[in-house]
Amino acid sequence: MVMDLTSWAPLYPELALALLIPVLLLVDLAVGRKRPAVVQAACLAGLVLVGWTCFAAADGAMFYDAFVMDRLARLLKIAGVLMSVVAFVYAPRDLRQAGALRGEYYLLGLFALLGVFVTASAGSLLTLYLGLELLALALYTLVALQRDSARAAEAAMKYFVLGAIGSGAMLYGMSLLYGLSGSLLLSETATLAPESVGAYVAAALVLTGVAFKLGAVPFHQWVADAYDGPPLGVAVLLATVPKLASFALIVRLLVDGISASQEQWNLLLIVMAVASLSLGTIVAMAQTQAARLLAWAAIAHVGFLLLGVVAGGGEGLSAALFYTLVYVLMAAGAFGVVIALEKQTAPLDSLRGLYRRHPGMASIMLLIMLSMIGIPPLAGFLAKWQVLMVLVDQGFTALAIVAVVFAVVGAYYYLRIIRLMFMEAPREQEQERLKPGWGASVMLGANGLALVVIGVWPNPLLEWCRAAFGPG
Amino acid sequence: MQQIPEIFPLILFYGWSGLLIAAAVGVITARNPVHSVLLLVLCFVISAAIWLLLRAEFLAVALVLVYVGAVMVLLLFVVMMLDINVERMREGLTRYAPLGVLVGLLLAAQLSSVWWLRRSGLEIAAPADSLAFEEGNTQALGTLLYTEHLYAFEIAGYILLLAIIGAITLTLRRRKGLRVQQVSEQVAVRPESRVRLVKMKTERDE
Repeated sequence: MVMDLTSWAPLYPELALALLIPVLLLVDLAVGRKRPAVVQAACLAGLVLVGWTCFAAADGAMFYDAFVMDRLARLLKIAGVLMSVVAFVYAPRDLRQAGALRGEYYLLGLFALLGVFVTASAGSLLTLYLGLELLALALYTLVALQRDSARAAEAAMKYFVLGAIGSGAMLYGMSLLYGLSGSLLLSETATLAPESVGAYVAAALVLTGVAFKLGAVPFHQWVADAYDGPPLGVAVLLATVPKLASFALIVRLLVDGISASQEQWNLLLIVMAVASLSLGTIVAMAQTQAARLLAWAAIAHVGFLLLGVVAGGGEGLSAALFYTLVYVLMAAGAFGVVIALEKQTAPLDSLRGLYRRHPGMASIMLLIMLSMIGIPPLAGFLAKWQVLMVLVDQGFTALAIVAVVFAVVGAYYYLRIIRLMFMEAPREQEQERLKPGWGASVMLGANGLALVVIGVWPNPLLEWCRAAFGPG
Repeated sequence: MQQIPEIFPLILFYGWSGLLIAAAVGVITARNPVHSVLLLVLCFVISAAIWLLLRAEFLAVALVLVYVGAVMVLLLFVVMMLDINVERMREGLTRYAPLGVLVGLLLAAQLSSVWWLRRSGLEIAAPADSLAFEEGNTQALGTLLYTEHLYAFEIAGYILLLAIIGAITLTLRRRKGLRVQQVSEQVAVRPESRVRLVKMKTERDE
């Protein structure tokens, strides 16, 4: 049998990334200990190639529909590569300080990205679960990377145990789905009769697993520790890349896989969304550590994007996808600024007087914070606006009002950061000017600029998000 | 024609089942933990033989390879390395007996419910037709694994690679003062730095 290479065209991104991992392993082995910068450069160069294959890959299904490359998968993969590049540029500075800068950081990051790829393209329960585990195992190890830190070890332990419980619940639900439908393919589990007790239990268990992975209330306990325990360079990866896989999980497993019982899980989803919004917003106000504040804010943002899923349909899902993409961009930027402060654990006080220490960086943080609040014309405003519009269109006006109320309440802690940066003097021991390094400076600039560009000229990305759920 | 060949497997089945139960009782009653582990190995081997009767040869081979070959050997090492006071462990036997009886009853109830359902004529699942594959189920499994599930199989391989890298990352330490072999120094060593020839005046007994 002659192998036709073009028949593998949908698989190009996975193949490229799967090839990059062993290559980087060897590069790290050869030069990693003496020149970590070479490993970083090789990793970034490889990621550019992987990004290119995401564009070059053809649409199509392979392996008896267990692998699906469609517009949604392509968009999520490109976003995943971009966010990994951003994280890999921000992270080394912080990791070097923490004594955790090793080649394995990039390797594990690439494994996590491969997990996102597999999840985004999953067409069967088996590949979906394998993708999630690949992602999760890489993240557990990353959180524990700084071995001599008790906080990192504690965070890793909590994250690992709770993540394993979530995976277990999801796997149990999946096995029920498989037992009831007799097929691993998500397109066939979707046709399962929704009336049976087994289907209810399966849907509830699957939803529990999804909520764990998302960090939605009441399965959110791991989020704050997982963000705050490890070095910030790990947290920036943790806050961005997995969110894309979580979104893929919602679409593939909930919306496609158990669509028959949508009425039931939609109700649960509403409860989780409102609980996440309220608890995330309120607890975030009491935080004094930057990473913990961003973690609780992330829970609130998850609530917002779940509202888009609740609204449902192509419109609702594309609004949620747009929200996810904009959110990871904002989260990456916020962590980028916090990393540039060069604090091992960054209390909010270390942002005090940032404008005097580095006006450029303070301006970018200002953009990010305003975008998180949802001030026009920034990207964050449009993301919120899209979700709210769909909610009102679908008749969930009460939910839209709740979302707006908590968005306004949430403005408090973002505005507090802005006040600290611009209206207060730096702490006495932190007077010197910050030097974030040219790589991080360029990336931070691009990050802030992206929020403005998407806010002013959102149509290309919006169209892309809509096309991911559009017909044909 | 059908009757005569079926007698022989039946004898084998009941003979092996009896042995299996005897060995299982031996596992929990043996005074020496090493004997317990060895009896457990016997249990696995007999179970594998019973699976062979069902023509599930892949399961039988996998059971022997994985459990007897790897897990049991590991367990044996652990048991031999730990100095376990068997008498102390036995103290709790009567205390936990009610719990054990409860679990045993539950298991018996589950098993008999299967038998009862079968008797009531409910078709639970079609019995596996092991003769459906002419080539035997090892080959059939292999064909499935390397065609339909090739993608999942490869991803599982990457998960294993990740597990290796993760485990090494988290456990390998490079401390100072560790007495590790320096191969380059060993190769580059010169005789002069190791052996010193000293000229001495010969001493004689006067």
